[in-house]
Amino acid sequence: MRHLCLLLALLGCDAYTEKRERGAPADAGTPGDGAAPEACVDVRAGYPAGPYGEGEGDVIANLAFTDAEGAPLDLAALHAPCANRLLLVSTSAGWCTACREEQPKLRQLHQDFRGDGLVVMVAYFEDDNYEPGTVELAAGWRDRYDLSFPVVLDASFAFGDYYDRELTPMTMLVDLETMEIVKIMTGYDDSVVRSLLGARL
Amino acid sequence: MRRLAAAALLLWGCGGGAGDDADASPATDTGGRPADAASAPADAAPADAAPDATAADATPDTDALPPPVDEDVDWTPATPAALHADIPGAPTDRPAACGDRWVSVVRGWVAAPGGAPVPGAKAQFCVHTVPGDVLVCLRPATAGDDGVFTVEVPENTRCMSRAALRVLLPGTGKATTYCSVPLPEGEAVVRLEAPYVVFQTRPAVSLPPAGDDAATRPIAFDDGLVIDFTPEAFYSGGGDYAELGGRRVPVSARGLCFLEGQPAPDGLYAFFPEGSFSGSGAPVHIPNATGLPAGARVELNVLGGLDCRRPDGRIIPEASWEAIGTGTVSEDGARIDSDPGVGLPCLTWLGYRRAE
Repeated sequence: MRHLCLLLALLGCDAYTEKRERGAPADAGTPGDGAAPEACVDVRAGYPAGPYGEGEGDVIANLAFTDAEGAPLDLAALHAPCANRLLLVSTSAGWCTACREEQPKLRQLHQDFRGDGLVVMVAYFEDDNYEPGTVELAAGWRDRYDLSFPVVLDASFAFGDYYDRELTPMTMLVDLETMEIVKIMTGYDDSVVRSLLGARL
Repeated sequence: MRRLAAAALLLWGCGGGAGDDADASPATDTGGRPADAASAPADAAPADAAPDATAADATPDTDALPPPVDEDVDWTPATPAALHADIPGAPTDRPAACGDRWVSVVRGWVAAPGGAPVPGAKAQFCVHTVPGDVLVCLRPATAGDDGVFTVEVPENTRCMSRAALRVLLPGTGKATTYCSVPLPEGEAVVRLEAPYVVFQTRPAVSLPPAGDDAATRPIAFDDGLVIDFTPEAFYSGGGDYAELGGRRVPVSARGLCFLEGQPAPDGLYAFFPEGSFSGSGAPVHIPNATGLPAGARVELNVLGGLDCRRPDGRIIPEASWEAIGTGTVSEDGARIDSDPGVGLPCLTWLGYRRAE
């Protein structure tokens, strides 16, 4: 099973075809075996074990989403490749003007830092009318802003548990080796984010 | 283009050619959507309000008739009592660290033309926080039966430099509106006296089948306005192609908050659903309802909303009424065409005025 997970992760696929319950580790058989960076050649073995939390300093659970193509994508798939070092999550909704203004900045940020191991992911959760988003609208969002990084559908607004859900967007940084939540911010301040990335990448 | 011009002329011929307010929309929505009960004038008399009427009264004396009531224009807001009601527990102690406006609650109300409240309307508040000038949007407040809404501002966003409200009734064909929110010095609780007015649009009068998304087609709206529309260049999470609608709105209508402090346009249109065009935008052809001479130049303006972006990427902010380019009155004087390279960057509100 472990080898199958590694192979699928290497291929950029979710490690499971079945839905995992939120909070369950991707590979319960390998608790806490996040390898040191120098030991990681291609893929990391297993998702860090819990306990999981929702604040800065906590390990984030292996949340599962659907990408803009309708395929499953969970955090384990982003954690697995050794080259991935830091994850920036931005929550977005069609009704959120601030989110829309942010997208070109995220695109530029991705271009500037992806070579250093930055992974950017937009979690689209609601449409312009405050209704849960759809895969089609997530794909439209990706195309509208010409985004080459994952845009996932978070129709259940899982990320709403990690910040004040009355305010959007949220910007979250996660260490992709340990899956520790490094920073949670309301809104997107490009200079602050770049400063944080510069210090960690 | 010839076919487009012919279509526009034909439609304009059907729409009437009087001055702007004279050709304003009729009081009832004949566009095919269900009648909007909320848009009836609040003080409209019931149909059986004249029990003493006789047969002789049935022959109208046209000279004695009052001028027709335009529900967009001829009404006076009746402020709901709740607008001024106490708001228990509303924070009012501005922290010393906030060097700008500090607002904890915003209360306002939403009405339809005529003054009837619009229950269920959404009022969404976006603020530029201080310090940092970071734009953040709050989940919307919902208007009650009296149309009143209350936005409770989370503590970490109360210090702000500017703010705007997005007001809509989702899924009803009513145009979304945006207004800047006044932030008076020293007032933690902001009460907005003037109503936010949501205007019902009418379905497009000519809407070709969706077909090839990459194909540009003319879509005709209320009174003959035509947009050269390319579906694949349009993005909206608020409605589908089949729901496209619009209407001409009198420039003297109540509730046009985004025109405050702006030169009055000669003509004004509202659209549904709100959406964005990529590239150079969507060219537009407007009936020359105000009789501008052939060859006259006009300035085209749009209302900034969710995602109104110029071709060079610059954003037209929410509630901002900005020029996007020029148009020219056609040789036959029938319409105003956006000039080459000029197009609508977004589908919100459009206005035009003769260029100075």
